[in-house]
Amino acid sequence: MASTSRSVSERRLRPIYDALDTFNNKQAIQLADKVLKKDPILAAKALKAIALERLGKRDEGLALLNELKVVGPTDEMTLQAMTHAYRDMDQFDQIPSVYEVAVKHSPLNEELNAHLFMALVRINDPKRQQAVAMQMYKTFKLPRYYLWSAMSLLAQAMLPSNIQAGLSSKMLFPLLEKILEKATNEKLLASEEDLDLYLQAFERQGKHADVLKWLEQPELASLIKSSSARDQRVAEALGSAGRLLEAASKFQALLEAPEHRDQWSFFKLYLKYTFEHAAASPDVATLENAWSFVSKLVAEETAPSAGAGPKVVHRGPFLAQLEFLRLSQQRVSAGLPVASVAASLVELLAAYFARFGAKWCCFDDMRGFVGTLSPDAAKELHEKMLQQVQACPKDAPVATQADCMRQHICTVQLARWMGLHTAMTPEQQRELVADLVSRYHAGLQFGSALKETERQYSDDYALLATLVMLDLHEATGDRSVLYDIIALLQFGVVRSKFNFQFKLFLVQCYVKLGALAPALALYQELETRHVQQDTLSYVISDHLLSCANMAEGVNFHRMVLSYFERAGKELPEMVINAYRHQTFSKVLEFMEFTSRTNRSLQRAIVRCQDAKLRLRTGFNGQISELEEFIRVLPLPVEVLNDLSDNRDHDVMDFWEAEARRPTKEQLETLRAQKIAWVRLSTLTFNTLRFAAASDKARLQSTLEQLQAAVSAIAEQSFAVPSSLRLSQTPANTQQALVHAKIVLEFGKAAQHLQAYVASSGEAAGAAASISDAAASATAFISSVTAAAEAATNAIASTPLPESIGQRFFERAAGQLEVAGDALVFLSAFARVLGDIANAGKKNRKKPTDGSPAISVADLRAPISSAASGFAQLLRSLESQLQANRRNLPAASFASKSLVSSEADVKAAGEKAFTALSQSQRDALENLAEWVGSKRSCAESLSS
Amino acid sequence: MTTTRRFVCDDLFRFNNVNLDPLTETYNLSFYLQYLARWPNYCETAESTTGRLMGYILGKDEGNNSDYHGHVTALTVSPEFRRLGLADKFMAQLERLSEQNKCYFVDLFVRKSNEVAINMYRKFGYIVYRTVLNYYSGVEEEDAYDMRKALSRDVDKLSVIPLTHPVNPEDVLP
Repeated sequence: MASTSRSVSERRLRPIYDALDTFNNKQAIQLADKVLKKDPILAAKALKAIALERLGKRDEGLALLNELKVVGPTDEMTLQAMTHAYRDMDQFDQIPSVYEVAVKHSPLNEELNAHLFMALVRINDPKRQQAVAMQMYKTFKLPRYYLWSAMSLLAQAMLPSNIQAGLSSKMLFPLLEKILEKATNEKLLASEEDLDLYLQAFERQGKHADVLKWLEQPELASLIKSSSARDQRVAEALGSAGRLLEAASKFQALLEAPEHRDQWSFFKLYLKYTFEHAAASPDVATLENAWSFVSKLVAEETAPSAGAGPKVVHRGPFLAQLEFLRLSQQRVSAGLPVASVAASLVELLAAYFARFGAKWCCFDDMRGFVGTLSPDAAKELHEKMLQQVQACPKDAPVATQADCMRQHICTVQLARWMGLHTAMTPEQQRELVADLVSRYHAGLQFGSALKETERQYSDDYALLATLVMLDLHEATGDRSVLYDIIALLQFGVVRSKFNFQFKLFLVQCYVKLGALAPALALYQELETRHVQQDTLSYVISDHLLSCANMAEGVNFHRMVLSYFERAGKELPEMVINAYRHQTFSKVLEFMEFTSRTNRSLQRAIVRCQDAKLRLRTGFNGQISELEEFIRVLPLPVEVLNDLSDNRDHDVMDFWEAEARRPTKEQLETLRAQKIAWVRLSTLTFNTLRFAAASDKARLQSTLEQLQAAVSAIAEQSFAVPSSLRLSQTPANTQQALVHAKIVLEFGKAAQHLQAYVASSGEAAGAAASISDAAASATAFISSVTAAAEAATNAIASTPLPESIGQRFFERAAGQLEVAGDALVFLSAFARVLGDIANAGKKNRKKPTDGSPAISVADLRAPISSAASGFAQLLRSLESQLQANRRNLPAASFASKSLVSSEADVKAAGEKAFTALSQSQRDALENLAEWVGSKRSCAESLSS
Repeated sequence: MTTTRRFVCDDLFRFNNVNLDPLTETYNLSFYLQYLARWPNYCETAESTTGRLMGYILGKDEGNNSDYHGHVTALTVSPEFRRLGLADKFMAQLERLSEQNKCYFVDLFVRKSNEVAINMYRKFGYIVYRTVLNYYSGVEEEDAYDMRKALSRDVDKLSVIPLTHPVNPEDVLP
């Protein structure tokens, strides 16, 4: 290296970089070898490692990097290439030590020091970060390094382990405060972001009085350039510090500015602190002042426009009046006097509706307040609103008519929210659907000039009709209603090509009917990307296992999982970025986001499903397949305790009747249920894998964990009220539990067999081990028999439902999973016994004193009888599936008049129905094929 | 009614009702986080009274000397919250910030075919400064309008004298 100048090296390496950039990895390796033969430029080795990793040769790549590590390179080119290579290999933790060597070699090289700091950020090691940054401050005397060190200390204080151990409160925060004090004295602060680091340090401890202390120092406060941002920060801190009256008056002052007239958070906190202040006393003077202030703002909005153009009326002050009355109601319930206000909440809501009812968002504005009304008051409001809509003249201009329609939609949305629809009889619901659908069609006239990318003004009628039809379907079990919804919404997406809510409801209905292909096609039209793999992919992934489409399943899982892989590489770089730009307000935020992404529940679910799918389709009882299966990695269990549910349910559940929306507790139950499912699935999968691989130690510990999980879950109640309408599918934890218990039994049998092998092996011969072997053999036989019986019962006691749909496929898939897993165990056992028998043949000449009294044939007997029992069950499942396939109704859309009044709707329904039944047929066929392969596996094992 | 506040990472988990709209692109994580890390004050979200996301703006400031300007990278409002003047509010805030940072002008790129947006920006005082040929690559290749509005620092309004000839994408790189 010494003889080669940097620019010469760079020129020699350029072709390798180019080859890597264009993904010519083989060429990159050749070029690197050529360079290395001539001149030992170390960076070429690291670049070669990158190419090797890309070609799937990680071990060779790592070996090269290890060679480099021993040399201890100090030039930036090599170090950067090594960093790149380690990142690609997910070996972030190797990078810091590489830079440590380099920094030791050149302690005054600022760039290298910074890289060491960033390497530590990448592995989230704030303690060492802090030390490195402090050393950098001492060496290079730049304030930014002092602040890096302080930020690292804050990150350290926020580590859950340090908080739990009391280290944060006792040591880290006090130290941080001292460091910050010194920084102020030495005037190291230069920006709003620097100040933010200070404020966070106190906010995170709940020390709001200290936050104020800092903000009251003019030279610090002036770092926040925007005066309103500064005032907002002060107002919030005053409120949090309990200085309520001052906080309220600060917010009041902010609200005076015209640009804040719609700032809901200001209104909300202004009224919150005003009411909290008044809660201590029966004096209502402050409340009366607040009411007149809000009313003054309302008056300003309603005053005639001064200018020529139409005036934009802000909704803020009107909603503030509603909020005022909502809080007054709470005071009344607490027995406290309230300010006298001439209007009631119902009257003000009706007035609000009269003014803003034609806005799309009117329902969203009102729903928070409607929830606080008594049922009678809510009815009164609803009637007032309907009167308002009826007053709309029939011969009004088109624009007015369209506004009247929007108002009417808002009344229907609120009626749904209040639960009026769910309380109806099926007959009334049918009438309502007919009315909504005809209004939907009538309303299409208003949108004839709309662009393709926009949705029709009357689309919400179709969505409301859909919700009522789903009620009907759930109440009556009538599946033809689902076909009606599909016909209506398929027509809807012709008129509003991009209405994503139509598409999401269509997806739901298709999967309810067990038709994955059309659901998947619609989902793909949504073009979900990146983070949406975490938040939205559940819409499809929840159904991939049951809908029996192997190819789609594997692709879909790969898409979801590769997002997480990329995120795992990208996000640490972003935390580094926040340090680099000294954006201290974002460091903890980015770290928390990274953590939520890494702990994603959806990722864990998809990982499990993917493993299951591979197992279910890939393993048919051949020994070679068993080897293949053993190569599949076990699923990680460390993360299971703390999974983060990042799925977005609101995108679907938004309009649902308030009573049918899950509460926080119910959502928590649903999450716990999913996690339990993930835990059971992960552990059963790992049990299977370790049993197949004869990995004694890990089988033992996994079985212990599985046993603990089974007993913990059995104690929990997972009842989810059936009245809830959920976009997510509740996990079938019950089924997973039954399955786990069976796997547990088989796992124990595997242990007995291992014990038998150990005591009857070559080394054995003593009398004691003969009896040990006999005992193990007996235990093995009874375990296998019990497990196989349990599996048989589990399958036999869950017959398939009559109609083809989601439940049908879920059941079938569940049965197949139990049988499939049992067959993996039985095959693994058969293989072990086969090995023993072969060894016995080879060693025929040896004395047989050491052989236990129980023969291999005895051990085989329960395996073959269990296998023949499964073969029988699977044969009957297979013939049921085939019979169902023959009996699927012919392709014709026989709607019962709920929605198909229009020919276009009928045509859309016919088309959808053809695709739907084709998809069902395919699913049945796929499933039958899998069952068939498992059946032949069982047959070969039983002979 | 609306609360506008800084765009935060957690918004990425909840912005589906905004981003499922066909004209709104969902980018990779680095895209959003790079903006948040460099221009945290230029990125804002609007939330409804019930906490539902209504829309957001992502922007930045860049350029040297008389080219120093505010830039609108993405501006989007969910269909259910349109016709409330939200885009106006976002733009006004970004212009205020750019004024405060002493920028000369604010600019943005828009698809030539997106008439609705172009008319909206015109209403906000923006003019078509130049056409950028094939600015949007990929399946739907299309020209862009580079639209501008001068700020108070540009006293002579030199930044908004329209160019007579279209330019290529490489000419508009920062």
